[in-house]
Amino acid sequence: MYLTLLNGTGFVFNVDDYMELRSKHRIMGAPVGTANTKGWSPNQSTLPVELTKFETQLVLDENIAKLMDKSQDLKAKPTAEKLEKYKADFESRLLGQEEALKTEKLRETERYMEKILTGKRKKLLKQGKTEMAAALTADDVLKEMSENFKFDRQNALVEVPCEHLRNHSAQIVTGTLVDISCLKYRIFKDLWKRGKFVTSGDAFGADFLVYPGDPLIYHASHIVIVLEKPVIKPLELVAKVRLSVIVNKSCVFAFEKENDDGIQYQSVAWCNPSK
Amino acid sequence: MDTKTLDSEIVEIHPKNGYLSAKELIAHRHSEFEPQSGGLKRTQNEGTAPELEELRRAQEQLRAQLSVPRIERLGGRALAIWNDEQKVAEVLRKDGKFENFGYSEQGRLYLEYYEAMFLLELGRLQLEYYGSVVSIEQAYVLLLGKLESEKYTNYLVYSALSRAGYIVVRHIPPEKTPEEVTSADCIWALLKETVGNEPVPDHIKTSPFYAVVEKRMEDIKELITSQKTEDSKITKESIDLEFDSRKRKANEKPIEEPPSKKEKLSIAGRSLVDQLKNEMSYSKLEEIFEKFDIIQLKSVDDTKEDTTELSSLKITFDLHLHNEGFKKSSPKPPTFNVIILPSQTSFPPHDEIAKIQNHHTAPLLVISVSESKQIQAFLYYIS
Repeated sequence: MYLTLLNGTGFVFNVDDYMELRSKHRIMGAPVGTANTKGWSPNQSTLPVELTKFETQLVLDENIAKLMDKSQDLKAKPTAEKLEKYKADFESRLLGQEEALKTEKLRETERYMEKILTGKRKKLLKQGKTEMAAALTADDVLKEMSENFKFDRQNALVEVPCEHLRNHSAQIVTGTLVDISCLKYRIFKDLWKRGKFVTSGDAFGADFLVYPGDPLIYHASHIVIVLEKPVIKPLELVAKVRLSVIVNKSCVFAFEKENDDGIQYQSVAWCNPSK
Repeated sequence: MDTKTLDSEIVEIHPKNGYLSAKELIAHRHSEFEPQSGGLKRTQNEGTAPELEELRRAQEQLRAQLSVPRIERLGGRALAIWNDEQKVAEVLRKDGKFENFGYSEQGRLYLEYYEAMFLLELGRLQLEYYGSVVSIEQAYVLLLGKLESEKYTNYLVYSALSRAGYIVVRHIPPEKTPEEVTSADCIWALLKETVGNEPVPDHIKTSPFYAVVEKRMEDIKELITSQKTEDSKITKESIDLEFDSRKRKANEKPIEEPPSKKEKLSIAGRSLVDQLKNEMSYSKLEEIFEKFDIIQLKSVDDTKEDTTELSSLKITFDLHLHNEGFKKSSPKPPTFNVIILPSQTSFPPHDEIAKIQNHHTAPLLVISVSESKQIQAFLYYIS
């Protein structure tokens, strides 16, 4: 699988790739494309999906996908030969629609046959051609439609594809996007390796949110706060834990064990002894 | 980012999917996605059959949402070509309501990168590069680029605000001259004309205050010059001198009150004034000075302007409302000024907000885009 290097991180333009990343590898990303739905709903977004730098790095580390820098080829001026081919392909895709568009037109005609027949008969009657009006059948209309159908290039359909569909070349990006030895990235990776969905915790002012399954149908179960040093002030502890209790999640503090001996998780629960 | 691509391997990419066939194009032309409310989410993953079924349906829906194609007639979209050197999209053919997009230069209409991207993703624009139609992916590479950039957040904000119903345009700094000319402006303009030989700007001349102020000044001048010839020479001189020193002093000390002015008068030209104190004209002059208008100094604003330019905050967009008759050629003052906070940046302190608001009439909307691409806007009111 290939990710496209954009905004200094990985982007996904193919829906199959994204569904695989999400359902098989528990990588969420965020759809950042504007959906072309009617009504311009402000809440709907679509492909491409932008992965966070942590997610991109993880995908690279685990050999799930490669990060590709496509800018050189996609910005380059195509050779005259290639350009010729692009244009010919485009033109043949347009002209190849003549039959299909004609079929579609006839199908639409059939769909509204009742109305068309009534209309045509009315017109003939107005002109005083009573016999012709009586003799008019659906087949006549279809025949007339099919004979009069004129293919106009302007009516051919053009898709603006999401992923780049022509063959192209790209350079594999080597090197890292984030400091993979930093505590936060190691915690992210560790949580992911435990089989959880891990997303950014910015919605709750934390570092990560951990989900027991796809966030499509599951609520987050844990709020994870990364501590560079396992020290916290009482007021901060109260604030973090209180928030997690209110939103029905467990509060987890993650920090480095002593002697740099791996990651330690400490969950804190609220308890009211008077109840 | 220490990514390296220079010596790395070059890979040929052959996309698995091809272009849609004629039948597919027609079949999917009007395909739409209706989001369904998914009901309550679960808190625990127990792996039961109904859970798996629910997950499957949710994923199918997500796939449907993400696969809505962008299909339109060849003649049904606006057409623009991308100029990669100048980083602009030149519009060759407009389509539909286009008046709120783009800017004109030498008779040509250009789109900003966020406008071109927005119209492209909405299926209203066919963007061409070297004669062929660009894909969304190619457009991201061309318009927004591979490097980490504020363009991405700008585009997200532009798209969200546009879909929310605002007219979003690139920020235009308000013109230096205030909308309404006050009598103070007229006085300054007249002074500048008399002392500095600067012509009075037209917009001040047309102010209703102008004639009044001019008349009053003439009267005062008349009062001063109607002295005996000998005296008038001296007084004139001294008045010019006073004007100058007053201005200079005022630059350093914007607030001035009549008593201090009197004091200044006596200090500034001690010998001369001492002499003149006994003159008849002294009391008259005193009278004249009492009549002078005390007006606010303009330079107070100017000093603030300098500091604002140094500030890291910049206004990216202006927001207008649809129902207020927005016109690109002569925009009214915007409804909001939008500042987009770079990620990991703290909110601006009160002083900075106040300074920016001094120069802009519209309320400030400070927008932050989080790591998970959630957009939050904060409106500032300073009372």
